[in-house]
Amino acid sequence: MSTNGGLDGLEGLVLEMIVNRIGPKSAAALACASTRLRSAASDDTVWSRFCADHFDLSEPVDPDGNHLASFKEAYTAWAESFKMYPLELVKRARSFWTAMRNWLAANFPEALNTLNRGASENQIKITERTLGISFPLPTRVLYRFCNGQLTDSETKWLTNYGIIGGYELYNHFVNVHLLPLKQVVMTTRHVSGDLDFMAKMNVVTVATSLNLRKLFFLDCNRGQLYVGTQNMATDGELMPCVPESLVKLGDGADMLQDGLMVWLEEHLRRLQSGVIGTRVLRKYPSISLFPEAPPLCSTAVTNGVKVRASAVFIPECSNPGAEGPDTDRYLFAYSIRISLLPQGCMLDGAYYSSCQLRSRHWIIRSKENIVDDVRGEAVIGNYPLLLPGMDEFVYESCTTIPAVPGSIEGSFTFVPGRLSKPEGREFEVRVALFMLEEPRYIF
Amino acid sequence: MADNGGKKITLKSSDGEEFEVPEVVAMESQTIRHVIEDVCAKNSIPLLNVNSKILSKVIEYCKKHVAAAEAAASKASTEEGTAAAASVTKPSDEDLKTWDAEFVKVDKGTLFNLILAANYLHIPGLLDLTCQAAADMIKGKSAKEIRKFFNLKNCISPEEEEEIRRENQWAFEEEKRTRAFDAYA
Repeated sequence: MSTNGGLDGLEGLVLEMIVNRIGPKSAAALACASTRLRSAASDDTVWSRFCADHFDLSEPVDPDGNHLASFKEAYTAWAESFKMYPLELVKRARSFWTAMRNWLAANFPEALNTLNRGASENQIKITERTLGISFPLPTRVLYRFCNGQLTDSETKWLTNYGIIGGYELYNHFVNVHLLPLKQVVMTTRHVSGDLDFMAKMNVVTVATSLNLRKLFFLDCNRGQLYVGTQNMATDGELMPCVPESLVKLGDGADMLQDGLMVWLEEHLRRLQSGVIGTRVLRKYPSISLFPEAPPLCSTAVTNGVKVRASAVFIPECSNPGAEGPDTDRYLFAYSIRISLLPQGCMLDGAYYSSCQLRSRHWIIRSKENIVDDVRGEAVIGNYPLLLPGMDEFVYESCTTIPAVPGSIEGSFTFVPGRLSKPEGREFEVRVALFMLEEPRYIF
Repeated sequence: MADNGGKKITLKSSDGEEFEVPEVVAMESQTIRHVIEDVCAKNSIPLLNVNSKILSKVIEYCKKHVAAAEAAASKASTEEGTAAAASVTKPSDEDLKTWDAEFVKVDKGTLFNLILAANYLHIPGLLDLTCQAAADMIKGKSAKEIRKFFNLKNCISPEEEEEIRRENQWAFEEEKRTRAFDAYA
C-alpha cells in the first residue's frame, strides 16, 4: 500500500491527524484544494476539536447561544464574530465568564440573573466614541461576553447582588457591581465633574458600589485598574488594584491582559477556593469580602467558645499617601464570628449551657510594633449571649494603622450562664491573630 | 537489562527483502509485538504493506529510539541523585530531537509512505513525527499552493469551487488584530 505519491492518497484517521495539526485556517484552505480533501478537512470531529481548543465550546452553538448544525458552522460563526481579537484572548475571556456563571449558578443564583448578555462590537464602539476613549483589548473581549450587571436603581434589593461584593461597617455599606456599558458612560460622566484627575488620566468607571461610595477606574491607556481612596476627590489619590507587573498590554509574544481581566480572574479564584463567599446581609444574600478560610481567617476555641476572625482593607476610607510616621493611613474592617460549640461551655470540669460576653481586649500591630492596646466593655455595644449550636454572632468593626502589614489579636472575657446571673468565674476566650495584609489585590 | 537481549527477528518487506533486527527494536511496532506475543514461534514476519525502502527507514527509526531509551535508562541508574540524572538526559533529548528532524527531511512521497507504514505498524512516535512533518508542509499555504505542491488533481467544477470558497471565506480574510472600527470610521 503506497500512495500515488500524493496527499490525497491518505485517508481516514491518518488524514484527520494531519488536519488536526494544521489548524482551522489551513484546514479551510485544504478543503478548497481538492474534492477528496474537502470531506476530510470538513469532517466535524476535526472542527469540534478546533471549537474546543480555540473557543472552549463543547456544543455547536453560535456566540448568541443558538444551536447550529455542525461544529464547522459554529467555528465559522465564532471566527467571524471575534475576528478582531487574538484567539487566546477570546478563549480566556469566554472561559472566565463560563466559570463565573457556573459559580454563581451554584452559589448565588440571584446574582447570576443580573448578568447581562454580551455587548456587541457596535455597542462597544459607541461607548468608546461617546467617552472619547479606547478600551484595552482584554476589557473589550470581556464585555463581548457579558455587558455588566442589571443596575435598575428602582429595585432596592438589587444593591446586594454585586458580583464583586463588599461589606457593611457601621453605616458604611459597600457592594460593588460590574457596570454595563450604558452605566459606564453615565457614571463616568457623573463623577468626572467632581474628579479632575479623570480627564487627565483617560479613566472610566467600570465597577462601583451603587451608592458610589467605592469607585473602580480603568486606565484605558495603561490598562491598570484603580480604586479611589479617601483623598480621591481632593488629591486624586488612587490605588492600583492588581500588581503592576501583571498588566501586559505591550506588543509582545506574551498573552495580553489588563487590570480588569486579572482582577476578575483573581476574584473568581477566591470565590472558587472558598476564601470568600456569600453571606446574608440586610436580609438578602451578598458576596462578603471578609475571608472565611485560613490562613487569612483565624480560628480559636477556648472552653467551647469558638471565635473566627478576618480583616479586609478599606481603600475608600484610607489615605496611603498621607504624611507623617504615625499617621493612620490604612483602614481595615474586621469581622468577628463567635459561637458556642454543641457540647456547650466547659469550665473547670463543669458544663454550662450558656455563656455571655462581658469585655474585649485587642492588641493591634503595625509592622510588628504595637500601635494599640485597647480594652473595653462589650463589642459594638453588644453583650452576646451564646447558646450551644446557635448561629454565629457576627459583628464588624475597624481599625487604622500607619503602615502595612499589621495584625490584630486579643481576647474576650466571658461568664458562664449570663451576666445578670453568672454561674461560675469569668474566663478568657482567645481571638487568634489575624493579618492586616498589604493590599496587592484590592476588591 | 532486556531479557531477550540477543534474540533476533526477521522482517520481510512486500517486495521480498528480508531484514534481521533485534526483537526489542521490532517491538517498537505494536502490530509486530502482538504477532510475536501471540504466535511466539514466528521467526520471520511478512509485512505485506511495506516495501523495502520504507521498511529500512522504519527500522532505522526504531533502532535509534531503542538505543536512546537504553542510554537514558542506564545513565539514570548510574548517576547519583535524580537531579544529576535529569541534567544528563536533557542533552540527549535534544540530540534525539535533532535526529528526528533530519529523519523526516525526505521527499513528499517517502514521507506519506512513512505515515502509512507508521499507521499500519502502530508506531506512535513515528506516526506523530511524520504527521507533524506533513502538517508543517501544509500550514500557511493557500488552496492553490497546496494543490501545486502536492500535485493534486482538481476535479471540482468552477461552480462547486466558488461555493467552497464562500463557505470558507472567513479563513481567507486578513486577520484584524487592531481596532476594528478604524475600518468603519
